Amino acid sequence: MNHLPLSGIRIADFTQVWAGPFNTLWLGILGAEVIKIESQKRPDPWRLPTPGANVTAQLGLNKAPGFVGIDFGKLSCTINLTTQKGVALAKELVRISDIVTENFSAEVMDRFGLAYENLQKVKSDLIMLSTTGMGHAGPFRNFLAYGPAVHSFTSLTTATGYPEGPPQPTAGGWSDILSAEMATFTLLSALHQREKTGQGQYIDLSMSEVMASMIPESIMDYTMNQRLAERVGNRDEIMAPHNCYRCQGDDKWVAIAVTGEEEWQALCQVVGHPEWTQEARFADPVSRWQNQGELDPLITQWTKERTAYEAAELLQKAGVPAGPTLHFGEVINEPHLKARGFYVETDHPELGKGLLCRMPWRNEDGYQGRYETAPLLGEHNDYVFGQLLGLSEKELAQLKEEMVIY
Amino acid sequence: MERGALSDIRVVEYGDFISAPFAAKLFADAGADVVKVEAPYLGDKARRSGPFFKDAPDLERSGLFLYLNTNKQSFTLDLKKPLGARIFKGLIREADILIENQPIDTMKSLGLDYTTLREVNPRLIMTSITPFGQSGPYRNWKASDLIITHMSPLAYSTPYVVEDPERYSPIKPAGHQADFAAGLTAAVMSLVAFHDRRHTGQGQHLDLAAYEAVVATFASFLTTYSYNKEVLPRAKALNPRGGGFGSGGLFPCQDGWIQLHCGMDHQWHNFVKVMGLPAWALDERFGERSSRAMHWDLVEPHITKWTSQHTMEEVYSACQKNHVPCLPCNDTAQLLESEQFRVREFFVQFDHPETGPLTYPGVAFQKSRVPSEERRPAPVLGQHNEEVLCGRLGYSRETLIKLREAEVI
Repeated sequence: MNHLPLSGIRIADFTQVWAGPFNTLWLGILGAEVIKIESQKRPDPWRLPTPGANVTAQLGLNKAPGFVGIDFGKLSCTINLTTQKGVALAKELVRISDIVTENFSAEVMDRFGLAYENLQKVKSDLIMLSTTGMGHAGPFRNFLAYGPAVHSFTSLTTATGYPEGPPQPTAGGWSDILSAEMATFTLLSALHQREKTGQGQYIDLSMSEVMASMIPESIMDYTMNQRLAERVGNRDEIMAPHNCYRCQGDDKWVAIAVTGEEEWQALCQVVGHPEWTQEARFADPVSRWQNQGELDPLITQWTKERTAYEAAELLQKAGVPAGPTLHFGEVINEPHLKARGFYVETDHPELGKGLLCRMPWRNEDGYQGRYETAPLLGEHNDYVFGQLLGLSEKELAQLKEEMVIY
Repeated sequence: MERGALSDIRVVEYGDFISAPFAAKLFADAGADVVKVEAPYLGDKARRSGPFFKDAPDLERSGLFLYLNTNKQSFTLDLKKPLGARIFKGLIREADILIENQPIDTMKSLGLDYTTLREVNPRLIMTSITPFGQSGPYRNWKASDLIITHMSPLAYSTPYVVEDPERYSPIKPAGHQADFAAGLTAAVMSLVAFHDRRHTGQGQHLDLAAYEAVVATFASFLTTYSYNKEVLPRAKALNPRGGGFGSGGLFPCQDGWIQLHCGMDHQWHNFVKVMGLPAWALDERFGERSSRAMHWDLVEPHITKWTSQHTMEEVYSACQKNHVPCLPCNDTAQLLESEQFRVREFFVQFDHPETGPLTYPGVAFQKSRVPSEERRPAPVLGQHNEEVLCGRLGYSRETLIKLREAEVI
């Protein structure tokens, strides 16, 4: 099938880094025409080299692999929004778009003269989505916040960490991506609403609120019992054993989560200690949970003689939930993900061959998604300004010379 | 989005614990009509998971369940009984979307797999969430939040670096992040299919692996790895960068911790001003983004020394005033008291018969917050049996009584 669910939808995309681009990434895969608006003055910062060993290889604005991974399938045009002509051009683009997305700090679009009130005059049924760390209202509306700061503000960081240790940060972009997915759900709802009513709308999405809507356990425990969350590492509140265990090799671990008696008995069989099921300290779930400090080192005696994959496979064969702890290099070679076609090969004009992640769902009989590589900065200027907006070659040349298209 | 944006969509949820219930909650809170099918007597597993109101375990007092099932109807049905399965098909005939997260092959063993249900309703969108999906070598593997978290890069990157990797293993973030991410993805893909149905006129079966839902959140870093093949070790001594983006991290203050980020050069220069231009900070290795990140291990102790002399508020206020991203590490109580969330009316009250009024997290997508009269608390087990069976499906009250006696509902 060659149709895509969002064919015919056009998005003027002012977003940058993660929280915005991951949303338009999915919308693009689903068939929307996503036009990224940047400039040499203000490129998406994710085009800058990622600090690391190969930083010089990434110089220029088209060689950051991280950008390819989150901005593929989009078009790029460059408009200098600090010029009046640039703002007028951006408005022309909005006029022919269905959706505007942006994730600048709260006052930026306003400063450009591109606030929703202004854009709605150009396109009356416009849907516009702003994503910020704190939302566009409230005393912290102008606060700058990346993912990790959102985790901190919403108490995720305070609740994460080793028992008796300090708070620990969750992987940096977690709340960015959750916010992006919530943005996708919200925009699809708004499109549906527009279809029913003919009306657009403005959506003020706060990353902190998205994050707080996904940690209800600790919030409800506080509002119901006035209890503050404790840091528990990998442990569970009820189940044990529930941890990751050292395996053969450098920094290799296997995670094991026993959720019931059958699994506990199976675990004891696999590790060669059926007698543990009879020992008072481990015999019932409560004792096991209380004595997991004794139990964990005993399990490690078995895991450390095996690779993480061996341990996980032996346990799974016996019906015990287990899995190897994997880093990026291992996840990209994961046999299960490969077998399900999770990665798509891409060929980028400046970076060459690499891998992209597919959307995480499969629908055998339906649409398959569009996977094109990431745009070079300004690669689609002629298409966007010439074909879509109808500027002549002469006008285009002049705007380039005036550094409006820049 | 506007209130009730999805009010013309009918969803049936056959879900347990977090992922499918959270997906269906997003639909319900956006106005969709959601019938939650639960096993008689037992109900959703979340009913038996804490935290419990006043620490008293009870099917109607789980805070997790109460939050995840707002605005839904509860219909108890024993799908293992042929009559139960038949009633379920009646429900499916009228539905747009079925969201389920039963163990793999459960629906098939109940005679309720997609092939069967499609015959009942060719426009049905069926969203199945399993740990590893319907195909692939691990399709029959069991998993939980912990396992998915560890097999994705999430645990390995939490925290990014530790002093001693032997002592400090990778850990999962608090709560059930993988389960929530799977539920959110399930909501998105179900709604995509609903849009798609307008083109095709047909339903579809969607196969979501919770594992892939979590791995996909690392798309940018995975593509990066595919090009540069660089693994960042967890040992602090081998990874001077610290945080994943470089130039950031948690720092102790007199009264707690703050999260700081100086990835961009102007942010760094502003932060140096905030600290009062100390001599150490003028070291030219710290001035440029990449070099600063690669020498972050040298920067960190200096910042720690400075932040330790201040309160959280002193540090984050001064930083934000100078356009440096910095926020305090709140605990749950501080979050609930936050003026920012209060002004935005994020937290909302739900009045449930078993607990009385309680404060819940709200929904993140509401344009104008939902007024209290439109907030329906989570249903008690089987609360809507009569409404669904007699009202919606047209069974008589006598049949209802018989079905109850036969323990079908």
